[in-house]
Amino acid sequence: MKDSEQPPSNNWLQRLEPVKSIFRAATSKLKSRSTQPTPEVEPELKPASNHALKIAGYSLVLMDPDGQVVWTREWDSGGVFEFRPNQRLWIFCGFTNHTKRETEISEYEVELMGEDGMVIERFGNSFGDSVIIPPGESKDFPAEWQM
Amino acid sequence: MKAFKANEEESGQGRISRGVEVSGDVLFSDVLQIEGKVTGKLISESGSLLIEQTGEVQADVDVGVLVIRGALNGNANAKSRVEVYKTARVQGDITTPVLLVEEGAILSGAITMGTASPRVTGAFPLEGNEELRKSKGAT
Repeated sequence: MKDSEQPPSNNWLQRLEPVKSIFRAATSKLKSRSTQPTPEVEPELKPASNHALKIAGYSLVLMDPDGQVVWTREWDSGGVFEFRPNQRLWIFCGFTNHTKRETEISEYEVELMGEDGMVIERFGNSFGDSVIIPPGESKDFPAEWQM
Repeated sequence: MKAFKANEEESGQGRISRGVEVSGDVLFSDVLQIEGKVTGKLISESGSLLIEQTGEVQADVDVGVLVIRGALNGNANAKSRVEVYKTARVQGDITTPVLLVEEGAILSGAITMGTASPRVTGAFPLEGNEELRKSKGAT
């Protein structure tokens, strides 16, 4: 490049001003459209990855009409994966009644667990009437999350 | 150019590169990344199949983890989970216990786990997907 083609550094800064204004306008529009409560930290300073949940496993907890836990099980999710905004997650947990008695379920919870094994999200659902699962029968308990 | 190597010595990751077409059954153990085109069957006991944005798979898939960013035309069974991202186009039934779908993905087929088989058709988000919602309170 010829010397004469190199703009002085001040010109460069001046030329960036319109870009900066557009960026400021865009970010302020985004802020005003947000339905989230205003956080103390500027939203644009927060990286998007902060909102991702790292999921390593999940569990199903079945409860009887008295609210007592009658069965629970954990599953590995096949490695850690991230659940981010604009994504939807479904988990289908299966239960088979291996006992010789009927199992009565009135509510259940599906929990998402992080890498440290701690519960990071919980989905709960209850049935109007209890669900009876006869011996040897299976039932799926689905859960859904949206970010 | 590395075309296809299903069991690379160190990383355990194989790749079907862009511009490469593979026809037939493909068995792999760890990770297989597809940027080209595959027709046939893709099978792995517990491995991960990554269909990248340029990848086109016309095959039935039976793997541990399935990640889709490209096109899949065929039925998929994943023992652990399926991730469908916004650039994905899926035509076929999916059987998995964990399904992650990103807004913008095109998914047409049944989602099955055990006895539950809610039908999903269209582009996400599917706000009015009543059949899938009904399954939450299934009796």
